[in-house]
Amino acid sequence: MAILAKQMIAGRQETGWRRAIEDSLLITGRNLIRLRRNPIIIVAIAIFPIVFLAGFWLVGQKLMAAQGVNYIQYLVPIINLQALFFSGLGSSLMFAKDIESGMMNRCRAMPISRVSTIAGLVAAYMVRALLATLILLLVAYVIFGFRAESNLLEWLGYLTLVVTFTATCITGYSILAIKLRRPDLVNAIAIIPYTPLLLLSNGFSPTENFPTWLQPIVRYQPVSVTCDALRSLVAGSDGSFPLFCYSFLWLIGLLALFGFLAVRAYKRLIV
Amino acid sequence: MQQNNVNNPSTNNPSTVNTSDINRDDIAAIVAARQEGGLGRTLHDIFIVAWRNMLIDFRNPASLVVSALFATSLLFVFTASFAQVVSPGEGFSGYAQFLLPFAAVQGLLFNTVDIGGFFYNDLENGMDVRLRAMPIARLAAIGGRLLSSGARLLIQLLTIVIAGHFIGFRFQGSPLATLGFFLLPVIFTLSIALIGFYVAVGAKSAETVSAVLNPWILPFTFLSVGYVPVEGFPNWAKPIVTRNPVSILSDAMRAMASGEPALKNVVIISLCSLALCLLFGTLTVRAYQRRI
Repeated sequence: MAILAKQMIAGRQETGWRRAIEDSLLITGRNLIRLRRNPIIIVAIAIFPIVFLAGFWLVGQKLMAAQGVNYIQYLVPIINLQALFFSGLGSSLMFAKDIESGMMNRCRAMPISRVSTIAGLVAAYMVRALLATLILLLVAYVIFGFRAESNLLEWLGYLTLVVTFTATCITGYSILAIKLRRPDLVNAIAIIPYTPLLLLSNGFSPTENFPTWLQPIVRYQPVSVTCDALRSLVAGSDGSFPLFCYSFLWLIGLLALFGFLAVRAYKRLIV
Repeated sequence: MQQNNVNNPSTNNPSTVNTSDINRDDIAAIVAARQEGGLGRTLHDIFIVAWRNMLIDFRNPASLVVSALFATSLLFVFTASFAQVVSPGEGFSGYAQFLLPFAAVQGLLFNTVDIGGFFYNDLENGMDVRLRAMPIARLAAIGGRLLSSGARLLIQLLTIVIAGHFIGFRFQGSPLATLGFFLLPVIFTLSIALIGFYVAVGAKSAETVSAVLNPWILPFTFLSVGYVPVEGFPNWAKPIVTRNPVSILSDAMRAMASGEPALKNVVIISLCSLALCLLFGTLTVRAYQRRI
């Protein structure tokens, strides 16, 4: 009897790596179906980044050329990061909807791995972010004459930063969703970090153009550092490795912090 | 219809007098008292619904505050990052004077997506069904939302102007020009918001409104003399840029802020707004009447 009971419990075992990965993939699949059924996603993935790229390029290229900046080469990294950032923003909306609609409660009541709800969210939006990156780089190459001089290793570095940046954004935004819980509130507030992080960076305009007292902030904040690294990786320049390391350290540090806060908040989440 | 309603209780109740005793003039008077049409009644009902919408905004101010602050933050950041690109070596306040009208227009235009979404929620969450069951003017739902949106836009514009004062934006024109500076963009934005209303009436999800409007609003704002003067654009884009309503509106507001003549641009934008209002106002009202 005792052996049978142990066997039954083992059969219902909810922990373990394999189980966690299987469950996470399941939730990822479910989230991807939700993303795919929403036709508006095409606008978010393909059209939005390209409109931003074209817009800033039109507005800035002539003036930036006067400063000696080839604007399309300068601009693509920040537009890419912006697409990843918006992917994170979108994930917090879906997360808040899941909390409100009871999906989270259902997941808690089912014999699935605890981590799978968050991991499934991150993985699904990672797919969206990578698709957006691919489309953006292709369009920038074909239409705008964007050219990369990178070797394979530098492309790997680019990809690593893209993936880490996305994971950091999604994890950071998940805290917002867990704390606020209401999709309409998340929708209203989620745009706030966009200005200080994305626009107050050297992504659109070189640091030297900012007022002197702002320049230290602009130069060393994570998005600027990541932009520098991406630009240098794309140009295939010699100094790209230390820049990659600075950026990677920034992002991993933030990811660890956000991850800790998100898991703590999630454990306290009783809807 | 009304006549039957009045007669029904008496026919159901055998103890009352014969229905033929009821004076038809009395019925007409009752019907007249319940009259739902008329300009005064319509305005009154629109005002009530608008006030209801604004109370919701005030009690849940997150969306109102964030959209006002977001537009303000765009003004600050673009002043900080682009002033030296557009006019190298000059101060930041001159660029602020140039940028603020456009930053305001952009902030208001971004709002049209939210406003369309609010109207969609009105239609979906049962508010509209309730309004339709009540003896109020048919236009109240649309007009009320439009009016409260106008108030919302005005609050935003005021926020941006006050914030702009700190970085060097000043009104140098007459009080009338200043009034025009506040009214013109709000009217233009409301006429664009009506497009969102029309989309919302036929939409199946709240995201449809943003998916239809967003891809248009961004190119319109980029392809305008907003961030940089027309000389900054490539030659092929210049004709588009100068004829873009966003450019004309920004120029009109700039002229009104600095006390220069702006009449021509003001007239163009007013006519644009009027045309949009007539077209999409009619379409929205017709679609709204056919709904359900």
